[in-house]
Amino acid sequence: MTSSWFERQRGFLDYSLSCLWRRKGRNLSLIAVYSFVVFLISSVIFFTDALRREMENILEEAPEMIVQRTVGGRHSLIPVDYAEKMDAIRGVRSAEPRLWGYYFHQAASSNYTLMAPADFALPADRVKVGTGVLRTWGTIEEGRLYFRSRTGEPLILSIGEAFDGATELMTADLILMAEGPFRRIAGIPEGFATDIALRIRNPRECQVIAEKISYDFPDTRPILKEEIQRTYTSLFGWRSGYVVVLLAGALAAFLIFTWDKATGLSAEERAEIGILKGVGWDTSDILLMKFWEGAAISLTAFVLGVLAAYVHVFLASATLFEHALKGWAVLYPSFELRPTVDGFRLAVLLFLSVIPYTLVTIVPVWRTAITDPDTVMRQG
Amino acid sequence: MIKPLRKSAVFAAFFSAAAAALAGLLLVHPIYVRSAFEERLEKHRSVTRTLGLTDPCLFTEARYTRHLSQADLHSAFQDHPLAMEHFPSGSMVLPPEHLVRPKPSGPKVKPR
Amino acid sequence: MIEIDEITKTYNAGRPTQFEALKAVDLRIDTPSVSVLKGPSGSGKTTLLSVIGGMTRPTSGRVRLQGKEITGLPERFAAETRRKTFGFIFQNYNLIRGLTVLENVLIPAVPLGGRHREVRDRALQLLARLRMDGKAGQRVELLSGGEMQRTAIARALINEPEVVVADEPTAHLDSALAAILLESLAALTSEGKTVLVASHDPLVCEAEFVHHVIAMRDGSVVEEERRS
Ligand SMILES: Nc1ncnc2c1ncn2[C@@H]1O[C@H](COP(=O)(O)OP(=O)(O)O)[C@@H](O)[C@H]1O
Ligand SMILES: [Mg+2]
Repeated sequence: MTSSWFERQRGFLDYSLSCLWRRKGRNLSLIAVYSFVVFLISSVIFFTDALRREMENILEEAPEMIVQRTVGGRHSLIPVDYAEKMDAIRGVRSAEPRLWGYYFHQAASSNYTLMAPADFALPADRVKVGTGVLRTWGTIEEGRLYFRSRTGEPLILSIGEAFDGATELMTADLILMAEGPFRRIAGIPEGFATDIALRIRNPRECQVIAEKISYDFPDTRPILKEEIQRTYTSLFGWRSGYVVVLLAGALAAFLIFTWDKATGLSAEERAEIGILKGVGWDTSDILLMKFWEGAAISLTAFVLGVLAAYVHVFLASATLFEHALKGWAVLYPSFELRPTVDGFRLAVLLFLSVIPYTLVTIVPVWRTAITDPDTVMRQG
Repeated sequence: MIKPLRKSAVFAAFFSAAAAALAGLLLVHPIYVRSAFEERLEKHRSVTRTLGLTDPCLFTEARYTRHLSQADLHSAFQDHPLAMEHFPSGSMVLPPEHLVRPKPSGPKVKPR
Repeated sequence: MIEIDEITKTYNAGRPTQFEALKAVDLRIDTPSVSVLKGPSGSGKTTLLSVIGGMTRPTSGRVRLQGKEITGLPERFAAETRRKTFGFIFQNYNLIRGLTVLENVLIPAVPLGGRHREVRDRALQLLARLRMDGKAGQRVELLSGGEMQRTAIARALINEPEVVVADEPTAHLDSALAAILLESLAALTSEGKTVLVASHDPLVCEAEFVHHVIAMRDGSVVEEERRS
């Protein structure tokens, strides 16, 4: 009789699949729950990794430094002439006062970001809007947007241009306008700006320049580009609430369905192991068979879960997270994430989804499997 | 008698189909969509550069969530992410690091 | 020839529940033959079969099969010998519920890793010989008693063992089924197999094809009868 390693393994797999199939309802729902857990975790990993990478790449273009003025520890308007003084600091390529603020649109209860770029190219009665604004503003007649100025009177600006929909992640809620109407709506007096954006020639000098600014302008607070970028790399940190809740749920699910395995075998399962030993299987054969059982379930769950997560995050724009990210907001950008999959993380996930489950399948059997097979002779 | 298919054969067929689909997605799909995303990234970068933007438009709920990196020291957002907060975004994002651990001598740039 | 030399088996040695189930059992069993262990319940029949079949180790003594010692092997080799040399038919068949007849019959062959097609064909042939070929795909818990029994026989024979060991195979059968079972077992000697049956059922002991009757009591062999 020829004996082959492959046939042997396949035989054990056959046997364990037959056993699993006996309780197909239970085992299929187990795989479904398990896949869902893997799906949730890998969705979070895919989503955060992709978003983080995207933000890193995009925010490379952010100003090297933003200087805010603080009054009483709070952000306050900054005199425009600070910019000229900062411009004179060695190593600063440009220091531009930025005019921006928020606008709450009552009719739609939505928040928008108003900006008045220095080189705004449209006439003063025109605005350039993000596509999210078009979506959420409400009815827009003939392209006209009604604003309420600081003094209470209405201000009508018409849409001159819209941002490319592909840039929604950065521009969805932007309303760009000329300086005049901006100051009337936002109520920022002449001679003041929201903050100052510095461009610095040599990034390595940022620290020195930041220190100099803190010293020369004690009422300001510099924010470095690196800090801006870091804000978004900590998005969905492991400690943050949403992920903790997800992981706690996942862990609970995992514990629940491994519990009845880990707490020992039913008398029936024990009897079956006895029979197998009786007909000539040894301990390692039984462990091998159980290994295949655990591996078949956990590998299936892993592959299905990761597959679903990939489709969810990269083909379906992470629709499940949209709700969570959107929160109370009216406006949420529509964006697609560039598929980025970190092989190492995937390997860790594979390891974590297959090894513990397989061990939990094998270990309780091991205790039973090492007993003498002659007990099987006395069953009945 | 009809000889039933071996269970391992059925399983292997199913599993390799799923694994192949996964491998296809993981390895082929990113290449396929690569140029579209390069283009989009360039657009994002260019708008960020010209307007001097600092934050994505992910959380438009309130001023202190819209520009997280600009949040000031006393805004509500610095509450612990597990705190019961008015806005859900606070449970998803950590407060900016420079706010959680403000350095007395101003911001520090790590040497590269 | 199966040589059983001075086998003793003590359960729970050193503890208050210590029990000597086999006391210096010495036996020679011819191969091929049909041998029957008889004796009242508790006399040590099952224990002796377990020792011979390598399911449990004797406390002392040894068992040799065709001159080769099979006691005292490490577990791996004991299992190896067990599945290649012995086929077991248990008291209540011990089929695995929820699996089909064919799947049950194949179980002892799995660890051997033979070519699936060959093993399966062998199993189907065995089932055909036992007039079970129509039932190969049937789940075992739906079988009648006689069919379960034949499934158990087929399972015991799948690895083509030299020795078939059966413990109280007729315990739960009516006399008609018992007779059929015994016939099937007796037929195995013509293929050169040795059959070892433990039973206190007079129907078994008095059957005409039995070559060797071994009477046991309290862990010792009290009487032996060889028929020709
Ligand atoms: N694991 C065990 N521990 C202690 N005593 C046992 C054990 N197994 C069997 N015995 C005892 O050994 C004796 C012989 O049992 P057994 O060989 O099953 O007898 P039989 O098959 O002839 O009825 C019985 O008295 C039984 O109680
Ligand atoms: Mg007995």
